[in-house]
Amino acid sequence: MILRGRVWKFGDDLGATDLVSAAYDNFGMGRKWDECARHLLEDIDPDFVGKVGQGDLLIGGRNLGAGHAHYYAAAIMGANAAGIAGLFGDTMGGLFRRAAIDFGVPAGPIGGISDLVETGDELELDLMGGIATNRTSGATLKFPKVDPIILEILGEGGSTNWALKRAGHDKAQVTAA
Amino acid sequence: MGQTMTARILARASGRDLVQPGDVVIAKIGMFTQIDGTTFIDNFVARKLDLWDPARVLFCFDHMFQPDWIPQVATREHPKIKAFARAQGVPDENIYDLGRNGISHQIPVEQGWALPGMVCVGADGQSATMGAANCLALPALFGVDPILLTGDMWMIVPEAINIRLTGALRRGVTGKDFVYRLIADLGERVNGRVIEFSGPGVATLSMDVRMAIANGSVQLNAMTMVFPHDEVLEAYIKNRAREPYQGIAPDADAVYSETLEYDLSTIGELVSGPHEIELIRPLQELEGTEVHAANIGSCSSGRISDLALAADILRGRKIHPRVRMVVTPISAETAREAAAGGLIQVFLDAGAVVTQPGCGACYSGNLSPLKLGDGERCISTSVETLRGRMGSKDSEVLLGNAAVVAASAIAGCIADPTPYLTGLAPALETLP
Repeated sequence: MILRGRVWKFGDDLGATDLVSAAYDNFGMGRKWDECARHLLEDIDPDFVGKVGQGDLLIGGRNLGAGHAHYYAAAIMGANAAGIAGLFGDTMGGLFRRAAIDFGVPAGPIGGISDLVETGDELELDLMGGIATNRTSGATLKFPKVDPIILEILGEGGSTNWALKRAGHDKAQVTAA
Repeated sequence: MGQTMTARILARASGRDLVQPGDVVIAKIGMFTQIDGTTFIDNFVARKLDLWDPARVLFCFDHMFQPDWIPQVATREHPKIKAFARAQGVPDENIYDLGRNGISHQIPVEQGWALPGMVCVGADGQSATMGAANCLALPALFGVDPILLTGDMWMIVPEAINIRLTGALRRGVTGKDFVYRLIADLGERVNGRVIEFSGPGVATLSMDVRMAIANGSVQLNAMTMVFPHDEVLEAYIKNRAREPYQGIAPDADAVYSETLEYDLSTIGELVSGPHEIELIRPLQELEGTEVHAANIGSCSSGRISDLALAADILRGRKIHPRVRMVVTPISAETAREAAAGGLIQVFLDAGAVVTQPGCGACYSGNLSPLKLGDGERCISTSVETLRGRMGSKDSEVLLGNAAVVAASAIAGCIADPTPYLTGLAPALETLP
């Protein structure tokens, strides 16, 4: 799986409720991802929603997605609905990463990623090969290859479809998601 | 490289000899416990899907959602769960309805479903509680449907922190206080790692206290917590376990990403909130703060040791006339034990209300007589202090242990329970 997109870079400790504030918990609980998207990062950059585009990549420093697990869905799916195709930080907690992959949104830790790129750069991430390329500067960074199981889940669009396929359900049932 | 308890459980569950942090495995789960607010049933019914093993799925009626606007309001949800369970062949005894019910991650430990060495998963965010039983207890978060379909879950083997315990908690200090100490000390540094406990202090902790500690995992941003398989656990589960089990210990050379040491005797009473769990202060800083309501219950308390501690303070005393107090045992078994031990009588004599078991007043959508109005402040043993959690957005929830709640209910303000526990407090006849 190769992701290629424009970078939006943030600092360390960008938490789930920095992505979508806890004030919009009712949208998260109601799974209204488009509503969550309208408030993405508004406490940090009120103009962000107007600037972000489809396929862009969100890059953080250490601890991207920190905070209470209750808010992970709103953060991940709000970002995804706003156009963000993947979230990567120098480090990322296991529960946040798990939540993103369950939803079929590529995410994970890539040590050194925040030094590789700046906002506006075009970044290519070869998840299978474990190579990050800054196509604006030409710089590259190697990272541990993403496990085939995770690539399979992402390829199926999330763990529900992945499980349906593993349990032997036919394509019609899978795509009914 | 030696394996942690976490890695050994995941290795066993995935049929491998050895796993290391970062490995991705598909781990077979031993059981799944579901609250009475489901999200998967509509999907399963619409797509004609089946549970992987109906005998290993529990439904625990605990939240009993009341307002009609909540999609999972109890009057619709409970019949829906029962119909689904019957159609799927879930044994009747796996449905923990009133009279047998309790909180969804208490029941599996108490009723011998969550066993040492297993991977145990729950729909509730606080499901790590089960880690007291030497299992890897995980909240399913947003992956309920696939886990129930296949009976396994993908996992990236997490790193673990070893917390070595010495000493013993002094009387009047509970697992909640230790959780608050960890939150205050470690903040967001935990970052999704697992916490494993070791050291001589573990043996001093009852199963109640271990469950209360493991319950704090989400608030601490830990993936879960794992307690060792020792004599205390063995004595607790030997007559409860529903099937044979094999406990897990870490390898002697297990590699932890960090090792910390805590002397349990240094833990004092702490109060969290209002509004933010990370706002943690010593009890002494808040003494004298007026309270209007007092609540004992929820998954981080409400166990028999919490009720006994509160009763020792309330015995022969009256709750302040400006305070209303509600006690909610965590489970039906706990309620029966409390009744048999005379604790319920103590609460009623003191002027408290005792409700049916479950999550209680922790969340204002639950069945509980305790809802906060504008300007009210509650001292509660419950698990969250978020604004509006117990009712009005203009109310405050302060969190403390059962002794602090009981002492505060008597005083009408946040109070130190120590004088009551040491016999220095005034007796009933000298109180107003």
